[in-house]
This record gives sequence, C-alpha cells and structure tokens, in this order.
Amino acid sequence: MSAPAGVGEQVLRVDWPQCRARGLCAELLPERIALDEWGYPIVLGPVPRGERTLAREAVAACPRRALHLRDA
Amino acid sequence: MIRPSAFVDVLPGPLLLSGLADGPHLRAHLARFGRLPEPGPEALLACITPLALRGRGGAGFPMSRKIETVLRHRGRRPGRHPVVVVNAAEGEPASAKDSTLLDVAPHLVLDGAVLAARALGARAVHVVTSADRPWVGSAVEAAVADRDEPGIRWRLHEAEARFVSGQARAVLELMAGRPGLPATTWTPAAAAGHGGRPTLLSNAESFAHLAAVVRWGPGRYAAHGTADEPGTTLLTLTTPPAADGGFVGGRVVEVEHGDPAWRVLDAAALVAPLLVGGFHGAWVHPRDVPGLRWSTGHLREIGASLGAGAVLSLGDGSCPVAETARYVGYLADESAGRCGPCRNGLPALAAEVRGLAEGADTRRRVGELTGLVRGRGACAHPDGTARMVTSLLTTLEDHVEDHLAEHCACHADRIVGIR
Repeated sequence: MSAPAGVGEQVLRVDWPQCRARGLCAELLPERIALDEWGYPIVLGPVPRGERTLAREAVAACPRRALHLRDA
Repeated sequence: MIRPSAFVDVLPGPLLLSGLADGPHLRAHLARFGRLPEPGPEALLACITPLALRGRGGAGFPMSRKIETVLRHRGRRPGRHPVVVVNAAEGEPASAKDSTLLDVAPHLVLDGAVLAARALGARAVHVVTSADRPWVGSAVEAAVADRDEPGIRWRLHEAEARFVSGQARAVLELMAGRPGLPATTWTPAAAAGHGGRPTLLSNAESFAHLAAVVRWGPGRYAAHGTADEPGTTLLTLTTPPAADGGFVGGRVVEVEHGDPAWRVLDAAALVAPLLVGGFHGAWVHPRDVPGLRWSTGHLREIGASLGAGAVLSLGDGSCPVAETARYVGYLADESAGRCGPCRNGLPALAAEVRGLAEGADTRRRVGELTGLVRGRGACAHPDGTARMVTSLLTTLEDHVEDHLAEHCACHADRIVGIR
C-alpha cells in the first residue's frame, strides 16, 4: 500500500490511541490520507518534499494531536 | 473468554529444565552452579553475541542488540541508571512456559536478570507476573526473599489477566502506575523505557537463557541446537480449550533448536493442523507437521514462526475453521479498545470468520479486514490476529474449501456452540 520512504523523506504517523476519527487530516491532505470504513486515517506512503507544508498543516489541525510528521 | 490451564505438565530438558529433580530452591541451585559470576558488559556481550541469542517473548529480537542499545543510552544519560524488567505477564492463555519456568527454576531466571543488571549498572529489577496465575507471583516472591544481592532492588508487579498485558509498552505502563494497556511509542524501551530510563525489558525465558550461557559457558550451551541457531527453546504444547474457554492440561517441554517436532507431539497431532506461535501465530498444514522442526529458518519457509513457543494441535479432530473463529472472537474481546482500527476491525473480522465457520464464503471480506487492521495500532494485537486468520485462508486453504463444501469432518451442528 505505501511505498518505502527514501532518504530525507518524512512519514506521517498516527498515535492510534489518541485518534478519534475526526477526519480533518483527510480533508486537508487527501493526497496522503484516506479514511477507512470507520473514519480512521489510512496513510498513503511517505510525504514528498513538495507536500511538507500541507502535511504540517494537517498535523497542526488535528484536534486530538494524533498525527505526527517524522523523519523516515 | 479463554483462560490458561491451571495444571501443566513439565518434562526435564537439556538446559533450562535440567534441574527439575532438584526442586526450585536456592540451596539446590547454588549447589549445582555456585556463586553467580559478574561479567562486565563486554564480557557478557562476547558470550551471547556469537550465539545469536534471541528474545523469547514472541518478536525474537536479538538480546545483544537490546543490551547494546541500553549501554549506548546509558552513556548519554549520566546518573540515569538503566532498569531491568523480567516480563512474565504471559497474557497468551495458550502459553504456560514462562509461568512454569518461574515455578520450577525461578533462580535461573533471576540469575539472568541479576547478570544483566550488574553488567548494565541497573539497580532495580522488576518482575511482572500475571493476576490469573497468582502462584507464579508467589513463587517469585519466595525466590527473591531467599536471594541476597546487595545493591539490587526487586520490584514485583502483577499484570491484569488480559491478552495484551504482556506487550512491552503495556508492561511499562503498569510499572508507571497506569492501566497496563498498550500505548504509542516510537522509541524502543532499551533507549527510553521505565521513567524514560534505558530499560532492558525481556521475557522471563530470555533471562534464563542469558543465565544458562553464563552458568554453563557458551561452548556447552552451543552443544545444543544447530550451528545457525544454538541452544534450546521452551514450548507449551496444548490442544483446544474446553467449551468453557479453559485450557485443560498442557505440557511444557524444552527442545533443542532444529529438533524434529515428532519427538514431542503425539501420533494424533502428526496428522492434524498445528497452530504454531499461539493465537498470534500461524497454522501449519498437516502435511508439513511430520517433517516440522523447531527452527526459525525452517518455520519461516512454511510461513510460520515460533513466537512465544505456544503450540496448539487439533489432534482431537477439531475443525480449524471453527477453532479460528473461536480464537478471533476471543482476540476481538481482548482488544484494549484504544485504537480505532482494532476496536472496530477485530469484531468485524471475528464476525466474518464466524460466518465462514457457519458456511458462508466470507473470504474476500476477511481478506479486506485483515488488510485494514494490520500495522494500525499501538501494539501488534491487530497484526497478530490478522496473521493467524490469514494463515487459515492460505495455509489451510484446502480445509477451508472442504469446510465450505460441507466435506469437513466438522458438521454445521458441531460448531453452533462456538463462543
């Protein structure tokens, strides 16, 4: 499903116990986040450099602070 | 609810279970082995690294790498003493080897913990046992009371009886005074564990192997097993739990790596599906059971792994589809319910596998759901559950076909009682 991350790439990681399926991440970053049938995020591969700002915005928008952007 | 057996047989073995006749007491232990040596970290690593000693809690992580990580982080954090944790929470009800080991040879396990603590400079050694096997906690308490180790503080904990209690981060949560449930971490315990300190958290059997290597010497340890996988491993051999969910009987044996399985399995087990690695493990096809060997490499070739050494045979004629449905139902109930995909996905998966057991071809949906839960939780509970279910559909595909065609030995009326 998700391609392996390359050097210097970043990945989105979900703090699962924190996540309550609010779905803001998928609205803000549909390129990288889909929702499963229960509304929980499915991360679609690593974040390319060009998407970093958008990814940071999605991370900041999570009301549960459940989304994290980390070095691969 | 599935519960561990209260009575388990234990047979003498080559190393860990070689002192069975002498009893569990410290005096007998010291009469056999003498004073515990105190190798420094380099000497300890030099002992175990060539033996490729792996953890016995299920993940099979190399012990030497864990120890190296603790040492590295100890160096960076002056004044922050490492912590040693002996994990015998044994949440898997099909497994009884850690509990049994602490019952019959507690000092070998505690030796391993002290060896590690001395080498790492840890002052506190925590031992975590399970609430549904209270005699194990008592055995540890008695053994610890007999020992005299200046500078070592023993701390005993009792984990709640649930499947995920033994997961490393759940154990650390318990030690921190919070509910012992899995929590998110992106750092290994060896780097930042109990109170943020570098923590050597390993399974009880793993510590006994550490002690065995030092007590007997690497040469005599490696005289057992194979060149690639020296030493021995403990197995819990069981059959399906009774209708009320309780495992009945069971046997703990110590086998050498590479040993053929027929030496410890009975005749009926040699022609029946075998679940290797417990409820997070994988089914082995009956055709592969007679040639099965207890070797990580060999098991990998047939899509299985030893896990924590729980081996469940359907030699009683139970149907693997009905049994899998029952176990997945149990695993869904055992979800801590903290992570959405597990909380929602496992009950959905359990319902579909139950549908399969009742004769509906739900395989496609089962495949979807296993894909949806995998890798999406704070612990490996969804992954392990998905692994067992997937092995039913792949390894035992022929049996599933027979089951759906009603050619399976188990007839529909026999499975109405599942859960």
